[in-house]
Amino acid sequence: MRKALAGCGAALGVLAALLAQGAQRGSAPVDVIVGVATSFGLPIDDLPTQAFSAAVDGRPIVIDAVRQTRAPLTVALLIDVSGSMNTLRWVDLRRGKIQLPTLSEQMLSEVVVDGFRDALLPADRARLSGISASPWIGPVVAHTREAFEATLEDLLAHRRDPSNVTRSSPVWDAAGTLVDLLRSEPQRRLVVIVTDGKVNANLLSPEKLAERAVEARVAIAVVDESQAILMRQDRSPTAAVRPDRALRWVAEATGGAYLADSVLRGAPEPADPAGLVSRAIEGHRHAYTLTLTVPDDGRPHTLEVSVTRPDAAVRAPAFIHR
Amino acid sequence: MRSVAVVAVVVSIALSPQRPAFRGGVDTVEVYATVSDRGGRLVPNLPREEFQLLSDGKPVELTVFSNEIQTLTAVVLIDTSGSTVERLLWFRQAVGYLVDALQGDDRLRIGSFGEEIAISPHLTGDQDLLKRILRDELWPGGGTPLWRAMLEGIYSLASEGDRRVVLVMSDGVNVGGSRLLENDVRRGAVEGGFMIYALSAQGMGLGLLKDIAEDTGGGYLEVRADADLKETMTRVAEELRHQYMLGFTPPVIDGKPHRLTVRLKTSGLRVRAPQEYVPQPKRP
Repeated sequence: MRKALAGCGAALGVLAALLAQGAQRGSAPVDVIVGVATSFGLPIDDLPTQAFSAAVDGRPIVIDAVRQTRAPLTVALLIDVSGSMNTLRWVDLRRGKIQLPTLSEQMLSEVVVDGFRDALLPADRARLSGISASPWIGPVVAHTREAFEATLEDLLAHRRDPSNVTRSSPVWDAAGTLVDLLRSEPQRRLVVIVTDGKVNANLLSPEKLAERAVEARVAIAVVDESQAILMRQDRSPTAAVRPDRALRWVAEATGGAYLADSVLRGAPEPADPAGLVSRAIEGHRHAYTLTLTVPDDGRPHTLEVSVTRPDAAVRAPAFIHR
Repeated sequence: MRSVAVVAVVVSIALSPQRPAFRGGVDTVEVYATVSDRGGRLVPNLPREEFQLLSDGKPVELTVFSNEIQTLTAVVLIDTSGSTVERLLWFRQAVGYLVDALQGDDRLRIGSFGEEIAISPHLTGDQDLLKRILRDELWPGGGTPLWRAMLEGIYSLASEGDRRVVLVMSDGVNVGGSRLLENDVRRGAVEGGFMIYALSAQGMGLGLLKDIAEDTGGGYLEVRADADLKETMTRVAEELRHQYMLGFTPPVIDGKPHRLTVRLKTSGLRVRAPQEYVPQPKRP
């Protein structure tokens, strides 16, 4: 009798093991970078594992592990230097309002040398790139001020190049090129785009870009320099054009930060693209790595991540695939 | 029709030193003609015998003829500058109707000009993709680099072998750039065998675009305020498809402009065709 029970128990054990194996078949662990911040955008980096919950395709799943480390990054900063970024607009400075190009050379210098360089840690790898009709992608740059200034000069030369006569804005295509470039980097990968959102002449749609970025585990953060454009139309009410919509969508879909600059006349804060670039990089550095087991079918699955802390905003890719 | 050696083209557009000139060479000059009746309605099924061609006033033999429906290969350039901003949604809607009217192997490329000149890399018949570009890639404001945009549009179709059309939606007011650019557009279109069409809303005007359209055998239209826009754009697409292809052997191949006249035997019909052609020697 005892033998029979033992045999039965062994059989159940084998069955359980088989079932467990079956449950695991077709699944694989995937690391997802998740940022958590206060409503003011300050990173929250002390949450315990049990504070996180996740759902794939709308179904809750077990989070295998949560790690929080100030990980080194590979960052590519993509600055839109197309025609529209040279358009004059009202900018609030601390001492008043003046008209400046959306991104003057002085602001460009602040973004690159101050915002970008100052946010880097020694182990980070950084590239500067620009888009004006065609993309310009600089090499990995040393963290010295001189190296950044030299790279900035190359970007400015690209901006002034008469062969970029149309000065169009294929921003999605340039970001896609950077995603491909960062794909093989071993560190956390981030593309930060500074743009007014007036993108055009793209081969890639925002959806395709986001798909490519998520698959390559590259987050795309956006520093949005756009302004809503109101147009009185001849035979219809005033229409509004919103360049920010696609920018926000790409950032949210890929788990990057979306940071809107204060570019409107009368905005309470002065425009600060350099500060926002720095914040986008810091936010990604302080993010958590969640290990999730997801279907290993090569297809994208929707992902939702939430935390128990009520005042926290979570930033994670909107979908995931193995 | 495709086997016919195509008209020589030399379009060396002075956009930048890096831009390559593209040349073809030819035995047969190929031009396209549109025929309409007194009421402006298309007359699509005339026979070969109806047409007479004159080069510099002297008759030339019509060696190639087709009255079949032509595949459309076009770039649509939308003026998004400050002077037309009140019509931007109207322009967008009009091009949307044109996209709806695409058939078979028709292909469009969408471009815009204002703060920037942006020519989409997509030359496609994919209606969803074209509508996405219309929805997501037109931004109002800026100056009106009309001629430079037209040169970019012409250049974007330079390597296409089909009949090539540039459809401009604008008030025809160029701001910025040299007057020389206008001549470049005219020369590039005529020498390259491009047909220029111009379209605007009633009251906007078309400026010099009318002349260029006539020179190239294209057309122009100021859409009346009370017109049905969908019906109008469907008619535009019909016209672009229903053109006669006329081919002839040029008396001399000298790379110089020659006057071209297309006549019809039946009175009461109107024919629009290029008024010049430039026969280029074949490359060695």
